[in-house]
Amino acid sequence: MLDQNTTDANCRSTWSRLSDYADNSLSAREMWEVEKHLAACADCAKLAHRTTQTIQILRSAETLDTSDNFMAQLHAKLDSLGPVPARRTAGTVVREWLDEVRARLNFRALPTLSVGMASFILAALLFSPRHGAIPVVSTVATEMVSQEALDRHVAVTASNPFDDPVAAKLEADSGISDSGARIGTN
Amino acid sequence: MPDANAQTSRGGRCCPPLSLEGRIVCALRLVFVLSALLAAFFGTPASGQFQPAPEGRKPQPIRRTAGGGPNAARVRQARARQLLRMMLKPKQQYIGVQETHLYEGTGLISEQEIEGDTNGSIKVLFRSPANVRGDMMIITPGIFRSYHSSARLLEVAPWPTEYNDESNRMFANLLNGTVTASVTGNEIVADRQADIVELKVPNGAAGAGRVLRRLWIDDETGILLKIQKLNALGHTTSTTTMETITVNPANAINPNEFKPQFPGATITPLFPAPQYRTMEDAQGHLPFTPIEPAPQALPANFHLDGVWGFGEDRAHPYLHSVLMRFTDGVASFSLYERLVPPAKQTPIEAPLRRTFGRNQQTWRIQTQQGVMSVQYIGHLLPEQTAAIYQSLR
Repeated sequence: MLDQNTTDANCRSTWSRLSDYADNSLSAREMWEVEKHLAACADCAKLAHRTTQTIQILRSAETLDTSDNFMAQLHAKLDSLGPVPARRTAGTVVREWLDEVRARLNFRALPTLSVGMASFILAALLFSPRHGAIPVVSTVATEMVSQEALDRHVAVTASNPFDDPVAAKLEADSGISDSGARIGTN
Repeated sequence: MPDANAQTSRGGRCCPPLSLEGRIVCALRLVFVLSALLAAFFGTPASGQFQPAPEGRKPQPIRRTAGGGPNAARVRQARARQLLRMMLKPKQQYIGVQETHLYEGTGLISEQEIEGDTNGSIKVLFRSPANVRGDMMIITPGIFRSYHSSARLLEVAPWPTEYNDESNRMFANLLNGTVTASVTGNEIVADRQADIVELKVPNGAAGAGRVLRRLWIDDETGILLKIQKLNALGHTTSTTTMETITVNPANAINPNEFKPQFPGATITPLFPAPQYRTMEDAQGHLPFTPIEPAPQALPANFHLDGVWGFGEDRAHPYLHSVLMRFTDGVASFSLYERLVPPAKQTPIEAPLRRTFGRNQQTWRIQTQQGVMSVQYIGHLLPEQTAAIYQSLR
């Protein structure tokens, strides 16, 4: 089993190559390294699926043709427009509110208030039950484990010459669980 | 002495007394008559019984020989074994289109293109339904590949392993009587003459005579033309039928057809760890103790015949899992178990609220180690599934 640091380093290296991997523009050596890692790392494999799927969807998006004078018309229209007032984003609103609060606060009390809040947070962290002992597992990972069950069942079915692996695959891919949800959801 | 006279009279017609030549002729006639009587009585099936029928012949049950005696049954069983062996390595390459019907759940219909060679390799390309369009399944004697086109994922499973050489095991089951196979009729499928082979529960076992599978096998080439799966009530759960087929196509199938490349596909080994011989062997490799159904809760003739552990390379114990496969020699079901992370543990469902009719179910079972997620995949009857569920609880 690889140690955690090595695994993380491999994961980071793979993430940086995923886009090129999906574009099939990696060298043979890099392709081999990425595929080797994806075969061993379930989380990265899932990320790779999603990346390739997203790229596929973008590639399959319809492209629209414009008329020859489209750009000329666009510039003419832009020139005819007057100045537009700056749009108030959520960030701007919050910043304005903070400025207003800061103006109203007594700044001499601020250090005392900060120290008090920091002490409270530290105490809460130290004396609360150790949730860190329970590993957090992503839903994606557990779903993947469940889907693997179905895929392995299909493979075992296919190894039986007197069984029907096609039917098994269709059942797995249309997998409706007893709760009515796709197998793999918890 | 009228009786003696009568005998003499009959003998006089058949065998002239004192003539050596006449006696030889008489003896030959007697041997001929006796042979004919014996043949009719023991009913050896005519060799023409298995000859291909003319095109357009209607499906018909196989002609039973006189009395359907034990000899006839043995011949049908021997012929079935011969066909099944031929099916593993057909005599001709073929290309066709087949259709699969699922009769449980959604009543799904799927169409696929299929190619097969004389080594028993098969490539299936799914045309429909939409969620599997473009998917490919390649089954070769050494390896199974399943390509999911939408996810660009290629799953690979090499076999046989030490313990799961399925074809050898199936024939062992046929020979040791765990399962019986017999030719029960013939039918035209995709314009080809097929013999119908039934795999049944043998006499003396629980549910004796129950049909587990029906296979329509091309009697000339051994190509599987149709397969029907049945559940314990004898209801069909799925059929896959060849709709059109070209045997020995003009352009021979290239062996590379069964080793396609999928550039950019993510390759996932489905069975990264070896199969374990027993549950005890598997437990040493898992961070939890799997729960097994009680032997008395298993349907008749079913037993555990495969255990695989997964996730040794994964850091979280909740990503470890175990697959148990149970079989009666032909049909099988799987239980796939893993611990549920504490944060995702939901209340355990009341058993009475469950229905057990679906072929895929996920159960939550409370154990001393925590809540266990158990996936059931199979075609047992609802009451059989319920018995397993109760046994696990």
